[in-house]
Amino acid sequence: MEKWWGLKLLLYLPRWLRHLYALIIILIGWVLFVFDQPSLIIRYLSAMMGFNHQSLWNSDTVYFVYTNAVLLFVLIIASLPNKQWSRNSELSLFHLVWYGFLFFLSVTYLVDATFNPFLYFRF
Amino acid sequence: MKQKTESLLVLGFIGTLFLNSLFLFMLPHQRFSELENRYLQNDPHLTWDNLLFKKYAEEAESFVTDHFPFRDKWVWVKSTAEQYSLQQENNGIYKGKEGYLFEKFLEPIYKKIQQYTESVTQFASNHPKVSMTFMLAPTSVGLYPERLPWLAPSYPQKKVNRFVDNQMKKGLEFIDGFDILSPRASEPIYYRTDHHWTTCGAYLTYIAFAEQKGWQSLSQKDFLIQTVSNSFLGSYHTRSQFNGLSPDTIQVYTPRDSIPTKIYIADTNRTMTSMYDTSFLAKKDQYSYFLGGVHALMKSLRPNRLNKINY
Repeated sequence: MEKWWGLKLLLYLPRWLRHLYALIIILIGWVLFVFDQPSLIIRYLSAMMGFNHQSLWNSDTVYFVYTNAVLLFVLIIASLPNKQWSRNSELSLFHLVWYGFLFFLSVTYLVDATFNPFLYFRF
Repeated sequence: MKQKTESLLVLGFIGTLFLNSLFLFMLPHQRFSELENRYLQNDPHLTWDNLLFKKYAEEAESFVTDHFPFRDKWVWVKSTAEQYSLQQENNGIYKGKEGYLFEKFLEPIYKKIQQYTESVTQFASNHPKVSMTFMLAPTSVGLYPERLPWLAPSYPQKKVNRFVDNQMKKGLEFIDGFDILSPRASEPIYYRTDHHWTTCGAYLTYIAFAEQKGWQSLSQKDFLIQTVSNSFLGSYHTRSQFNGLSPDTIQVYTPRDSIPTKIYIADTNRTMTSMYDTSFLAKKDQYSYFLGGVHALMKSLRPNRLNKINY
């Protein structure tokens, strides 16, 4: 879709508008990716647009922000383009350790997702 | 140098995968997980039916996840990682103040609650000859919202209790657990690491319930209070895997004027000679010390001592 008429238009737009467009497409794209039923997609998107009578900023928002603050911080840093950190340079020991650590952490989260303790013993 | 580190990366990755698979097949497979209190998936059966109806794929997947090598250690690492960031909850359990863990309670679906209360009132009206009372007790998060982490979302359980009270006005006698427990909230009514109330909490409720019904209740002096465990880490701890918690103590209230009781458990066809099963104190699930845990049907048998009953 973008290829047909959008690309020429995008080139004329200022940079920040291009970023905004990308962000919106990404946000909606993830919703489409997660849900396989159209009714759920519509419900989630309408909640995102604010049709569920929830205020944009309340105590719940603050709670989610501060509890995930470390993760958000790491994500922001990791998303920044930086020539020095990219793989153009040699693969050093630091890289190895870092990749190993990331892999290890990912596995722990995956295993935890299957963790299913029962409160009452099932007979 | 570059060549070496590249090959190290590849070898390391493949080696890790290989080692993990090796452990998966070589380590002895447990049938029952004490940590998760459930039976683990046993070997998947490869039959034509199983393959066709996706059952084999599901069984194989749960087999690999259930017997993942060092599973409990992986779960513990994730919990520690979450705790080192500013995360206040894990797997639906909040880490509250003063060592209290709370199960997350959010706004329930009131329609469902209405259905539940209707079932209960229906049950009561089906047995008009039996006098019944319904008491709805809160969980620890309802009684101690001030101990929740900062700004943690929580729905007040009092609202739910009031709703149930209104629903039951037509059918059943309703006692609100908050009325009984709120005045004594400073006492250790709930375990810090488990969803049950302590024996102390049960005792306070017994007193209030007896008072409501006009029974004569035993005072605390009439009980021999013993501590049977100092190392109890309950369901909330199991689910959240939080570290650095001080364990709970389990107490037993034995009436000094004790009556021998036998408990017959229908699903295992066993008879216990007391209401407490001390073998559970050595296992992870120490709470099953009380009545030997949860069973489908239990009958408690007591020798007839009608002449001693005061109420």
